[in-house]
Amino acid sequence: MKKLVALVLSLLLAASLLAGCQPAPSTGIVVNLAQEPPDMSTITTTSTGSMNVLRHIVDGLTILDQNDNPVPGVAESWDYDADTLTYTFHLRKNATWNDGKAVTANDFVFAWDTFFTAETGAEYAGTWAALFLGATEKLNGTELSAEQSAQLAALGYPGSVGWVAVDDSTLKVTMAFPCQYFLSVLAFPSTFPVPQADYERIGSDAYGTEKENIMTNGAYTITEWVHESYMVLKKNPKYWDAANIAVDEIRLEMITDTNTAYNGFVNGELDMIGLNAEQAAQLAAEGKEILHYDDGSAWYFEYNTTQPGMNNKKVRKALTLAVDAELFITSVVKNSSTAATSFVPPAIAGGKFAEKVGKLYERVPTDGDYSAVKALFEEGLAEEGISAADLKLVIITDEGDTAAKNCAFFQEQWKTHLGIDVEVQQMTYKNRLERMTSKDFSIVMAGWGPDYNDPMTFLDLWVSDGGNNHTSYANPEYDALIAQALVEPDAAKREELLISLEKIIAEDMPIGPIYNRRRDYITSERLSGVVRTAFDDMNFRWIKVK
Amino acid sequence: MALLSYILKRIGYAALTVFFLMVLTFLMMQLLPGNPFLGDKAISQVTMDALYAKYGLDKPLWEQFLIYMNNFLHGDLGLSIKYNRPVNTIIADSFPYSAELGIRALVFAACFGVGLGVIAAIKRNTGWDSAAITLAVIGVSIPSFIMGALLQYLFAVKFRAWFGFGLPTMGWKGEATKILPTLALCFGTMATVARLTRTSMLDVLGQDYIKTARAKGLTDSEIVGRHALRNAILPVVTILGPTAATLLTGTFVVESIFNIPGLGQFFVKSIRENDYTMIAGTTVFYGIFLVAATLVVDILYGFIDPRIKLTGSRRES
Repeated sequence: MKKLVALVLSLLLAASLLAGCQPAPSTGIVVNLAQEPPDMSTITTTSTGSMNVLRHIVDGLTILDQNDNPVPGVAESWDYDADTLTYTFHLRKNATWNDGKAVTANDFVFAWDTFFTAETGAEYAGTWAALFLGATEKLNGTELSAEQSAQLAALGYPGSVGWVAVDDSTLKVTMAFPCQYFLSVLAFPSTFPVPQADYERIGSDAYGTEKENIMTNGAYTITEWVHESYMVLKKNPKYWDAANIAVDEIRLEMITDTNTAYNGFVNGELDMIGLNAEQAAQLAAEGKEILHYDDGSAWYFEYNTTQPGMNNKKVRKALTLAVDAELFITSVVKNSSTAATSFVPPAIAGGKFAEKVGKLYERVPTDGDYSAVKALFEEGLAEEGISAADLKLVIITDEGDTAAKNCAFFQEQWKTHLGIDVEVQQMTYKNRLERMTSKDFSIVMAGWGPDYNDPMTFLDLWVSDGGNNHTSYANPEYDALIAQALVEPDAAKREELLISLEKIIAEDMPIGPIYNRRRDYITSERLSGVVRTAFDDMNFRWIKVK
Repeated sequence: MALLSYILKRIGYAALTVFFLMVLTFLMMQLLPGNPFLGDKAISQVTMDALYAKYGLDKPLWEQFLIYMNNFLHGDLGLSIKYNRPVNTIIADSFPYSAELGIRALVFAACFGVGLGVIAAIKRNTGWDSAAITLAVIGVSIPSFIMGALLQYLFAVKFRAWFGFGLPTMGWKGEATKILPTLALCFGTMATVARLTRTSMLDVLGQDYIKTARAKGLTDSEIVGRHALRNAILPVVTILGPTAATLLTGTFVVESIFNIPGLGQFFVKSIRENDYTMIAGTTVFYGIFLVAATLVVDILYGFIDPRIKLTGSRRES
């Protein structure tokens, strides 16, 4: 009996060896999403992985083009009244949901009403509420000011919020301040439409958890979703722009193991994968073309400014400048990432803002002489009446190899250039976040990716009461400038304000900018027209397949 | 009657074990630093409170536990915080993948492990023996994540480079995709089974009744097949119970290397994400499975080996 079993098994093995070659489907593409999209409800999602999928299956009022500029999506056109900060969007008549229903203005109204309700638990609600008239008050359950009520009434809004469906295909919305990136935010998944009847039929918990529990109106529909494994998107023939969508099928693999993804790519099973430094070097050595994109994230030290020594800006500045960021990139990051010479990364506003700000500090001192940096460090400590020996610094970071290598580099730099020992503590991601939230750290290497294409998405992090400001940095001048920049309607004046904020950061250094991340990836030779940007991480609408 | 009380007693112990497992898991989960809703982006207190309330985490601990136990007894493991899907559904969806992979690995490991062990024992101190033992040592000492990566590199990437075809590196669709993960998962177990079989076989082959059989003129294959293996297999059966439970409930490493949507991945990721309901749900599922597998082996043992008294006095001492 056992022999028989063994025989059958070996035969099966042999047979399957012969059948073992599975080429990628020729009508579509296979790419590595690298993770399971954890929450595919447009209302509540916060994950970039989920947004990479959502961008293909649901359209907002606007969508982003190849250069991250908002262009018409469900809204065919719009009028803007600068005096009242009001947009009137005219929806496409031929925009439909996957069940054939038309996409209506009410789908937006319902989605926004739900999004800006605390019980929904949408984590982005706090960020976007500031932009929509009445949204903050709705979210926090507070009363509108008399002035706001009067404004809403004057604009003809029936309720206490600044958005309304004028008719099925007309949506009116008023901003809370002259927000220059408002149209880009309408291409962000949190503001996408959701049909009320379907949301209620499916239930708020279940919405977005399975392929049949998501309503789609985009270029693709989900036809298969095997959790933690793969997802298949098929072209939606009824999409208003279907004629310009070249790829019929996108298979998104959720491979977390970078080595497997690499083997899969070399084996011809994948058309696009992200690469780590070693893999990029290997493929470049084989003569393959390595592609890069700027993911828009800035990486920096957050300093706990309440700790003795760390409360001194000279000490913080010395800690930042003692790290040779150029060497860090060439020896540890090993790709085309760039050393930071200001805070807002070049991915924002197409690099124009970073260019205007210019170089606020040198990353490597002339002749590599760090004595001035060390002198600054000691001066700062002397001002606080402590010595380097009194300084007990701990840098906290995530688990894993990369984090360990990064911190070992910083540790060595601080030792060499400042003569101090900094302890490294590795911990789980959630643990690190908790330590940051409870301000139980001296230094932490943190990163921030932009939510919208404007310097403000970075600069407003460091306001005194900012939820993401773990540094305890509180500067009334900084807060006042942010408040001023938020409502400044004149673009040139606003830019000046933003530049002065950059200068304050460079002077006070509650954070120590290190580098702006770029990422390496590779595509198979079948693909052309791949666009990856900070705001359109993966978007295959412009891809052509050979 | 003896059999029945033995089985009932075992089931009672098993239920108690599962209960303590649930209490411990529940308490230890609270010690995990961080909370499930912490992310890169700070969320407002209003939203945080709403999320706590949604998952019942705003209630006192004892109340949360009672609700959890009550739901469990009604067969409901709750809603995963990370995936927002019922834990029951996640287990129902992912367990079949893990189980299929586990069964394949188990059958492979048992057949080839016993085979190797028997060969090594019969051909003791020959090249056959050394080869089998070397393979066993390699199997025990190479962790499955290295084995997985090696198999991928050799049978997918290199085979394609050399012969123009290779096995797929990932997925769980079609027989071809299932070969490498099965091999990666079974290697360690196969090695353990081989070593155990060899030792046990050598022990049995030295017994008097084997000499008697030989003296009666039975052939080698008759001796091994009819007399030796039957007794030598007992220790292997003992370890197969818990091993089956381990293999069947999924292994994070092999599943993530080969991108298989099994339960093992969900189990490990839930801990990293502080997904309390998922941690509790998968742990209790895993626990029940392990306890049940041990129980089945305990009971089967009573049937296989008549020397073991079903009243169990000897085994419980």
